Amino acid sequence: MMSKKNWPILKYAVPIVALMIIGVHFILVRTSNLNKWKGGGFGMYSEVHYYFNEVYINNLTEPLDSLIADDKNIGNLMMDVKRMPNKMNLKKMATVMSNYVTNDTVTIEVWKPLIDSKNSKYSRELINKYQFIKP
Amino acid sequence: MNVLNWKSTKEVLADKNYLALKLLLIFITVYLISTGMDHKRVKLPLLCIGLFLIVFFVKNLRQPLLWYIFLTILISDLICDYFVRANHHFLLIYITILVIIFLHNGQYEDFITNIKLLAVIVLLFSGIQKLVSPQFVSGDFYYYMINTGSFFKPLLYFNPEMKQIVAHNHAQISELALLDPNTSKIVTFQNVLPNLAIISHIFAWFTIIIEMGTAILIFLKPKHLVTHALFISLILGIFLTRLENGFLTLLAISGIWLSEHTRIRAIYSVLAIVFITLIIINIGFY
Repeated sequence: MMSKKNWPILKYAVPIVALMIIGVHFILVRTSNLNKWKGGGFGMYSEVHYYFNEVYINNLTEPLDSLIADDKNIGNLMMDVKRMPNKMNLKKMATVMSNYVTNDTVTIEVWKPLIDSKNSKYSRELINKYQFIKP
Repeated sequence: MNVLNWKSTKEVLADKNYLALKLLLIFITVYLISTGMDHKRVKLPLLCIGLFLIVFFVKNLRQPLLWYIFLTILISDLICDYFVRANHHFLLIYITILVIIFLHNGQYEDFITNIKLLAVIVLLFSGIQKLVSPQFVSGDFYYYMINTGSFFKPLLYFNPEMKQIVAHNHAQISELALLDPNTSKIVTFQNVLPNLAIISHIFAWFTIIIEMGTAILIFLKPKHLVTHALFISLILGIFLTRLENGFLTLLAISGIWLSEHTRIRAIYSVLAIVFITLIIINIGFY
């Protein structure tokens, strides 16, 4: 068995793992639009919570809120999309939502709050969008 | 029988390991109950087995088995919903692993160093994340949170005018949410306080300096009174801004381990007890 004397790094394995998880968090924020609040990167309160992001889907047969009230799965998908609006999550939601649109194309857009404190303005900024065509 | 024996209180405060472990045990129990609804299918067998082991095999809180049970349940949550878990869930797992290692090898100095490093990492990266966020450093984040009543909530109860402004801003956001975002419509906020944009900007930089400053002090002078005065002030500051009870409890418990003064430990203990109580009565966040 290897002693700790030979491997002093093992003494600090837990903080090292914490740093590695933070590293993964930063990569996912950059590459997959992961919201800073999640993924163990300690980015809470560094930006507005993803709960306040908005999901916009075109040509729905009924309002998104009603669909969520009827189907918990849609609500879960929406939170996934708000939390990490990457292609995979958007595609997953678009596939499900294609059953609730009036035409053959589903476009999902995720918007985040855009605040301009100097001019007291509030608007929205597009994070990502995905278009899905029914097969 | 003298139930409230202050001498025994002093003895409890003197044994910081036992004190911190006891508070950690209470916190994990409350936390697991609060998050018990998540992933019921996974939790059902885990909790049943865990409780069985606790009832029949755990005799005291220095027994690693108890902490293995907690760790298993906490990790199950992470596996089922990695991106849903809060940052302090990760911190709780790290601390639990450190406790297990310590209970096995008894290397006290290593344990305290690791607790110190974790506290430094949490505060330092919390500061760095804010520093690299344009929304935070500009003050826009605080401006939004204060104008929508998400921060300093109790103030709204005492100031009807502020409450009205917050309601107005909420109504503006709700109306905007009904419109297609591609129309690029913009709404104007009313400010709950004059010069809120400037106040938010200053408050943002103050937060970053305090968080990173506390992290550096904990790293360099973990036992110093000034370090703990700042750490306690930071905990109280977060508490007054928003009731992040779960995160704050873990910071307070870490403070107990890092402190060498019984009076400072008493403050951390009281804070941890208040935060845990708030979680139990469902005020704020767990």
